[in-house]
Amino acid sequence: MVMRRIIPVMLVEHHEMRGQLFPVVVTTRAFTDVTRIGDPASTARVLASQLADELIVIRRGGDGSIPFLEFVELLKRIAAETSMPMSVGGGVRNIEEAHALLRSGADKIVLGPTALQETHLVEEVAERFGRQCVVAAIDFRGSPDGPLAVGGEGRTAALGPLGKVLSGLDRRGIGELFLTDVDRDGSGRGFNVDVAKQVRDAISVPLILAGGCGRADHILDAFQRADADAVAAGTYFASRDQNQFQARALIANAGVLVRTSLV
Amino acid sequence: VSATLVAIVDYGAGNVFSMSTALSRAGASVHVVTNAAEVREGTSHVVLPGVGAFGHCLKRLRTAGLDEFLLDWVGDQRPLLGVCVGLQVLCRASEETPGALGLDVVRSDIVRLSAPGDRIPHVGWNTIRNGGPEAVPLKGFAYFNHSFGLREHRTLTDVRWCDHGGGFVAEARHDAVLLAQYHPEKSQSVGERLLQRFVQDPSAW
Repeated sequence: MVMRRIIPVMLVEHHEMRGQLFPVVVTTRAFTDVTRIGDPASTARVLASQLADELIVIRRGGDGSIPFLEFVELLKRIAAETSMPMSVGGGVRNIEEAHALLRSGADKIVLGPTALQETHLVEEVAERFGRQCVVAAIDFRGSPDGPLAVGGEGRTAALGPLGKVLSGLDRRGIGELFLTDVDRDGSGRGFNVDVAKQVRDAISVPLILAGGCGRADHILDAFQRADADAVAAGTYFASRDQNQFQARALIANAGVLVRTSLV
Repeated sequence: VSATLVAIVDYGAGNVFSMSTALSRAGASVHVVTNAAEVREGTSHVVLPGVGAFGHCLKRLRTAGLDEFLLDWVGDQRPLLGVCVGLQVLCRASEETPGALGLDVVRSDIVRLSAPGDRIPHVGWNTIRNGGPEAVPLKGFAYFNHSFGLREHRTLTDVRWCDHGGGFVAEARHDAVLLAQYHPEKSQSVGERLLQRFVQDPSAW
């Protein structure tokens, strides 16, 4: 049986120090309110030693965005120091950029709202690299009329009802769905299990659930109650009081299949 | 003793960097080639890495004239490693790209994995096992990411299986060709074991 996956997310952007720019891992709350965590390659090494099943690496947009070619070099540094499977994205504009990421350590390409809405990149990446290579990132917020897919900076622009946005997607050739509740991002108050459960039943590809992870039992909830194939988190992995081996033991002891040792 | 000289074929199928890093860790001296002329003198092992779609990969191999090179290489009993789609292009055909012809070294067809109750693509860490009635999982996990696979075979030896909606070939040997449906370059101890085996002479496999 395939193991359920627990996946750290590394959001990276530029940070100025003594007049020089350095790439740095950050966490966010509701996709804003940035906290700096540390050097990407060192962070990745620590996460690898703590049994991360994969890594999601996202280049943040906006003022601090890392230029694409520097991001590629950063990715190579991470790949040279760890051998984790990596899903990589953030403002991927065309198939050449996707290919450059795959040549530099990425195994899958994360395509967000802009790429999904405004381009045929999903189809192009699937045609050339297979649909298992496409991770579709969909972000949503709650509303009186039910969950709304959102896009744009700070994820404030409504793109339409979540169910409608998803229904077109499954047919377009995606390999996984990376679903984030923006309202819960960085909150540590638990995953949105109710929405995830509905989404899980409506799609055929693996579901990676994100937004709200604060404790090991939140992860267990996502696996047991929403039947998520994987969970992803940023802030959770950045806080020092989380022991990943204990978290995995708790989840495994509840009868969920996860890796509990490095060998 | 000088390091094994390995050529990684860059046929537009993704993760060349990860594969060369992993092979270097396994003690090989690695170079990347896009056609047969770039294969350095003294090269003893060739790798077909794999993040790609069946039809597109074969088109690229044929455009570069690498199909003939690979068939001659295999015909001479020289060591080759095919990973993921690199395994699949060595088969006869695939449901991923109907009508496209594989290199037909492994005379079997790649089929779409269908798994009621299980998700497709098959993504993540899974155990592999030997064939036979005991079917005990081997120690460690292998990392998979694929929608297609080899459900049956006729010519393979040393076959190890994985189960996702039924068994499929996870790892196997065909003369001097090693095949892995999982990604050894991402599979930690299980992957390192395979790559270390590969970079030796096939007589030691």
